[in-house]
Amino acid sequence: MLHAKVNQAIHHISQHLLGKEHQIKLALSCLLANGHLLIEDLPGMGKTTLSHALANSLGLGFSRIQFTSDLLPADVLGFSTFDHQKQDFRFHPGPIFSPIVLADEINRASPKTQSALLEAMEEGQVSVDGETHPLPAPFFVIATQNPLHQSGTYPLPESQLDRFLMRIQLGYPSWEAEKQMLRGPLQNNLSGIPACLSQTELTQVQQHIRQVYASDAILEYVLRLSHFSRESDLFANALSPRASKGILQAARSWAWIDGREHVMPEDVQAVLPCVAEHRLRSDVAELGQNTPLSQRLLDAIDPLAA
Amino acid sequence: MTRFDLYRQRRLSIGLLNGCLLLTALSLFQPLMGWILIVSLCCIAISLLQLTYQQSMSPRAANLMALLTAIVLAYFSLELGLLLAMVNLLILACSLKVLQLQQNKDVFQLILALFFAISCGFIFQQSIVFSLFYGVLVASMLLAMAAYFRPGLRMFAQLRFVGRLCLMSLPVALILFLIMPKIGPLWQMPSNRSSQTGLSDSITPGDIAHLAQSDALAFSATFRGEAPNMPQRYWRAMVLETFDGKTWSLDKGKLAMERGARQMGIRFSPEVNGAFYDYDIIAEPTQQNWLYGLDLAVPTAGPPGIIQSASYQLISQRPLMKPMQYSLRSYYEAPLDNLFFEGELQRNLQMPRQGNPKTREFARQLRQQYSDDATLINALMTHFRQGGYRYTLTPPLMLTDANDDLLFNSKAGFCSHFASAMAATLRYAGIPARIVSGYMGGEVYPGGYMRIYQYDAHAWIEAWIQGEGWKRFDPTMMVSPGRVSLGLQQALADEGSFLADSPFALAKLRHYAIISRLRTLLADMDYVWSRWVLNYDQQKQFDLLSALLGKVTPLRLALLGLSVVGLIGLLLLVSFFWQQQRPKQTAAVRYYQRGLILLKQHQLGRTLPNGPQAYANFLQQQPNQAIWQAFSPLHDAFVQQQYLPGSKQQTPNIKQLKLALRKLKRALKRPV
Repeated sequence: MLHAKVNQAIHHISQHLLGKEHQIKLALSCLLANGHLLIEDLPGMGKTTLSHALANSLGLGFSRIQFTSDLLPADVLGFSTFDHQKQDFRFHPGPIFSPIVLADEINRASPKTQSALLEAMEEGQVSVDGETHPLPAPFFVIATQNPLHQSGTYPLPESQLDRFLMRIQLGYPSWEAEKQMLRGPLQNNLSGIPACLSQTELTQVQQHIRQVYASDAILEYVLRLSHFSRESDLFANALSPRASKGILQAARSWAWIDGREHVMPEDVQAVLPCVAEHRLRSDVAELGQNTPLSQRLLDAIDPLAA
Repeated sequence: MTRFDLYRQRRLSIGLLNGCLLLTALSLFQPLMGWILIVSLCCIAISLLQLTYQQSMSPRAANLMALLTAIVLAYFSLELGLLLAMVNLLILACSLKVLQLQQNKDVFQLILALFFAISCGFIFQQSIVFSLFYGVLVASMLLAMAAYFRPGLRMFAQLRFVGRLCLMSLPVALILFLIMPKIGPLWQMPSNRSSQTGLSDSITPGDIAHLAQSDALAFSATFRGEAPNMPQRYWRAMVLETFDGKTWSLDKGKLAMERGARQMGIRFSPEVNGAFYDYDIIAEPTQQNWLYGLDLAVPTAGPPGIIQSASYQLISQRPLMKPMQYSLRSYYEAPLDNLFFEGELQRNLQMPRQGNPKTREFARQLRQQYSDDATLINALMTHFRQGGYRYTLTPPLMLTDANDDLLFNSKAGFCSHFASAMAATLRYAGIPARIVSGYMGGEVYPGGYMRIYQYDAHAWIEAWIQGEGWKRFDPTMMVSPGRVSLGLQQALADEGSFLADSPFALAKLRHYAIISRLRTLLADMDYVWSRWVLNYDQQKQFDLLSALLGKVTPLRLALLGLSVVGLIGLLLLVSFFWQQQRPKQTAAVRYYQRGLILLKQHQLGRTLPNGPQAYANFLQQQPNQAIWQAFSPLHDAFVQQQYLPGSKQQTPNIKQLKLALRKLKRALKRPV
């Protein structure tokens, strides 16, 4: 039932982002696994479209912050003003107080602003002027970023990249998909995407996904992967325990979307590139030139070996 | 951890088989002809090269070689005799087979033939060392077989598997050994003269002293009760009564007369009584008939066919092809005064008319000086003690008139020189005398038994003294008292010629404590092996069965056999249930892996990052649909086992898995 609704959402989104079903599935499984999502690609590849569509179909309120180099932390978190009538400071919540936050072009903001956002992501609360304000639950951040070789960007440090469960890349659409896109209406009407899940349903789904069965064999496979990344000198950075946990959680979510109540090695393999690549190497400049590190990691480990 | 490479393991096991063949062939170097050994070495080398470079010889070349070598072997087989020809043929066939290991059945044939070759090895060698060696060979062949026909396991797992098989078969082998009827050999061992070891049946003083240079075991003796002192340990083997001026040899005429007399039912068993030694002897195989005993030996127990001869020798009716155990009682105070044949004394006075003039003259002088036989002999013994004679194992060669040369020129020699000189002198002086060859001494081991080695070989004389019979005299004792009272090794301590031909003999190194202990340990093991395993014959089997059953009747035998079979069955049943009790959850994984191995052999292997689901998709896309249909139960069981919840409670249906595996094999064989 819930499962059908999620698939319906995927179907709807893929009407607007043609030929990218796999990425849509990944993005959804990231959100359903209660993780933050980073979408990285060149301008004009549909990053914003995807994030909008995701927010719409999950039926959550969302706010969008366009990150620029002069954006200040207060512009994100909110600020307090003195209320003369009540003789008190009143907190004006920023755009971050919203179930889904679209942080567009996050790497164009200064590190100070970036870290304000990322701290909020991690702790689920915001501290302004010594007062703590809890963020709504659920709370997702969907950030987009340009590849680093683009001018006017501040790279996210590894510690902050680690807070995103997944980083996905959209890539150019196929010939057919792009042709179909050109044939369609000039302006994409994203508001036409129906909300497929209610908020309670979303919580149910998340709870369900946490109970998807991962056998010992799967746990060991994940462990072998992360241990290999630590022992081998192929990788600049190794996978942290948080990464192992993330891989497993994402795999659960992927398996659930696939209609299963148990995780298979293929689920791990499907989500691993998105979950592990940005943790193994933050240097995006090399992307596309070599075999992705996560692929090398997969190739090195036999999913069946005892 | 990466999976063990299937093909590497198969190559490894073929290499191991080659090694086994090499060792078997080398261990059979005695019966094998030289050129067969060379052919076999070449074949092994070629096979190893083939393994390295992954090429194979054309069948035609190998067949041609087989034909040619078989023809040559057929040519030689007439002089070899059937058994040796067959052993040669077997090794030749094995060697040629390693060139052509294309299919499973080739490997299987090779292994079976090698097992047969190893059992042939036991015809020629039965000592504990060789038995252990062949045991190790058999185990490594089992290992090779396991690695070849069931690759995919790590070598350690294979070892454990083979070890378990060997342990399981051990009780069965033991029971078969104990209760299987003992059948005599089905073939006649060729009595090749060159393969004879031990004493020779003639003594030519002046020959090179080769016997004293071997540290091989001659026999071992276990005394019940008191054992004789060193100077009493004269083990009689042969009596040499014919002298042609150069060589002392057995009296063929007398032996023929004895045979005739025996056929008429006459036994040469003297009436004896008095003090005696009781002992068992295990004689090593010599391919000869001579047995050993202290004077005056009467056989008490042992296999039938031990004959006492008129010269107090012990003769076995069959040549000693394997260690032989027998029991003796020696009446050491009884006189040897029986003359079974007329003219026996005359025979022991015969001398050639020519040669040895100085000895002849020496004897004449002695006779003139002493009229009494006993005093003459004493004087001669004194002459040996005081005449400036020297004991050595490396005397100068004495080509003509050896007795003259020894007595008056070189004055150096060993036992047979002195014995020959003394016996000749006594005969010239008119006293009947003959040479006795055998062993003198023996080393007592802590296990309570005595071992007599080939280097203990000795020769002494017997002279007939009226009223006393044959009396033993040992001129060597006069020349070198240490040889008799201390043993050969001490007597030659200064000269350094003890075992000079075998530089690594353990007996030489006995000053080192560890070597000495090792030698003792080996001797102990060999003794126990000969006594309890090699000499376990029909009689002992019967004794054992009687001890077990009381009276041996066919019914009781059958009951014993049945109960043994029942016991084995019970053990099997228990182990079977034990296996059943063990969690079966790994079975699905095991069968799945076997399926993977099968598919890999047919170039449908799983490429690395692929998990089970991706691999299943790959198989579904194969043009041969039967493969996936057969494999899917394995896949389902595996996934169920590995990834689904609650797999601990469920056990896979093994029958179904087996069926699937069989179906998969069939599907893979079928062309698309």
